[in-house]
Amino acid sequence: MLQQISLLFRRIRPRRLIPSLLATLHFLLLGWVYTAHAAPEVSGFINAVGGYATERPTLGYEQGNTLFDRDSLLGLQVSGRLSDKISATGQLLAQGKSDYEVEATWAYLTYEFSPSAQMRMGRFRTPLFFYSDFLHVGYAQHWISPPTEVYSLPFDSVNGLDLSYGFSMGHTDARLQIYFGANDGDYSEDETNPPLKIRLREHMGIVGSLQRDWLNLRVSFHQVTRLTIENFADQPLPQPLGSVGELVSAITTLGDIYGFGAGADFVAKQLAMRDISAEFSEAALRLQWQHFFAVAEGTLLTFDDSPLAKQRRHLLSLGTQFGQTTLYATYARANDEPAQLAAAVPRIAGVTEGVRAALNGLTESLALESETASIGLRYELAAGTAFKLEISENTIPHRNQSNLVRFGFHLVF
Amino acid sequence: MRALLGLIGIFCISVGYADVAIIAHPDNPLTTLAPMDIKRIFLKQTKRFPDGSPVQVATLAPDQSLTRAFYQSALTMTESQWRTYWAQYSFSGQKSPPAELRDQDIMLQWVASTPDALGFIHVERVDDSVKVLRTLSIEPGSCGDKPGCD
Repeated sequence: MLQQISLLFRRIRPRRLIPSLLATLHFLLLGWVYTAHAAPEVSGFINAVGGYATERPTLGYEQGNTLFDRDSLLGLQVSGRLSDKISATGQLLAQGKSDYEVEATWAYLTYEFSPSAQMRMGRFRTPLFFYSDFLHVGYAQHWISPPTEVYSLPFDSVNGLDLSYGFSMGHTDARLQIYFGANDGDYSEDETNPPLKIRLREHMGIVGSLQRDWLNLRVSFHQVTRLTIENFADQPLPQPLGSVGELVSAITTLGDIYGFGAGADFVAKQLAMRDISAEFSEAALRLQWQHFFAVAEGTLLTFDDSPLAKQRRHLLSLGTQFGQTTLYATYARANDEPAQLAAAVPRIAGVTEGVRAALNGLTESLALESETASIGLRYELAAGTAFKLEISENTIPHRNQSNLVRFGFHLVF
Repeated sequence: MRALLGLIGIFCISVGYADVAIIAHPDNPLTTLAPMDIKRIFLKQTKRFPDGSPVQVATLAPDQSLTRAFYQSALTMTESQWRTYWAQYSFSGQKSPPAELRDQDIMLQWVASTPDALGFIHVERVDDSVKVLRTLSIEPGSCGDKPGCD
């Protein structure tokens, strides 16, 4: 396993690492060098995880072969104070599943109005989930990775600004965060399809959290007013249609000939994936009572005018800690509701069956129905180093049940 | 009930092998600090003493048994929980862990010379240069988890 850790370092591509590092250091040091403040603080984290699936490829792991790159990563965080009010933070991340290509997940300046109010500007983690702020820091979590049913949105980061305000009411601490920004990126859920080129504009959200001794409560609401998938028309479909664009042309042509032009226009608009709006709500609860803890989180994602499903996801995780050992069990479920587009195309025997089936196939492929139950162990090997072993059973309708075994080391330094 | 808790407290102090004194600067106007306030200050959930004045905290290096006794008695945390807590907050850019001072001599000097300081040392190391706001003790397996053992 230690070899895996050193491999992790070796596989980082120096050509990509150096420009990213220099850019981030330049950003951080720009003000610092001239203000002669304390040296920047550097900290980091490593997840070195291996795993294999038993019945079918699961979460990117292959059946029968142990892979070491899917959940492995290296992160470096640098922060420096430029003045009493201003600090700079950068985080570089090299993920095994992206071939250890280095990306700057964070690069922001913080301005402190007061000890309780601050503003950040730059690139920071989108605060979508309970674990978002330390999403990739395996050591800070009890499981190998948060369940993908819930933690599945393509964007980790947003480019924009946020305001946060913390206050106390007796022994209860509350925090409110509001952000606004935009993001562009490629997203690939399934490696056989070309990545989706997604553009988010007018992306904003509000997060409220409460903490009182043994209780953490978090509620958030997010929205994007203009979400565009640039290359959605190129997404492949089974023959003879070939792609989403060809399906739209076929429906438009049939609509003209058979007199359902309005229905065809509706479908074309839904499949255009241009400037649609999306809303995301999330609620989470964490309880810690002596040696026991429980985490529950639920999310709901809806889109207007699109073939994308209404995504309903939730998770529950329970655990107990004694000495250096943590034992836990997690259940997660995705219960999406596919969009209904085929109803706009009338059933005409021998004419529209093919396109209706293609529409249904497309909307169903964009909805996830999945259940994962896991049990796991975390053992504190040394200060800042945890060993974890997790066995998950994944159930997807009409497919074999598959088990996933993952093990690894999570470090912070 | 209060008397009973007091008795348990005395029992714990008398047999506890690691008595942790929570110490502040002698000019600090407070005379005592509640366990909940100690916990919230060391976890940086608040940046102020209960009277509203600002506070700075430091801990000792985690390899010392006194530090582990402090995690357990003052924070009801294991070392692993303490590290996990700070990994969550430092990597989310929200707050960084308290400075870790090398030994109790340095802690004593730092608290004695810093008006808004809050730290801890072994109760036997306390002298006139600092003020004790609370004494906490633990006896693994007996007192550690019981209420009233502070």
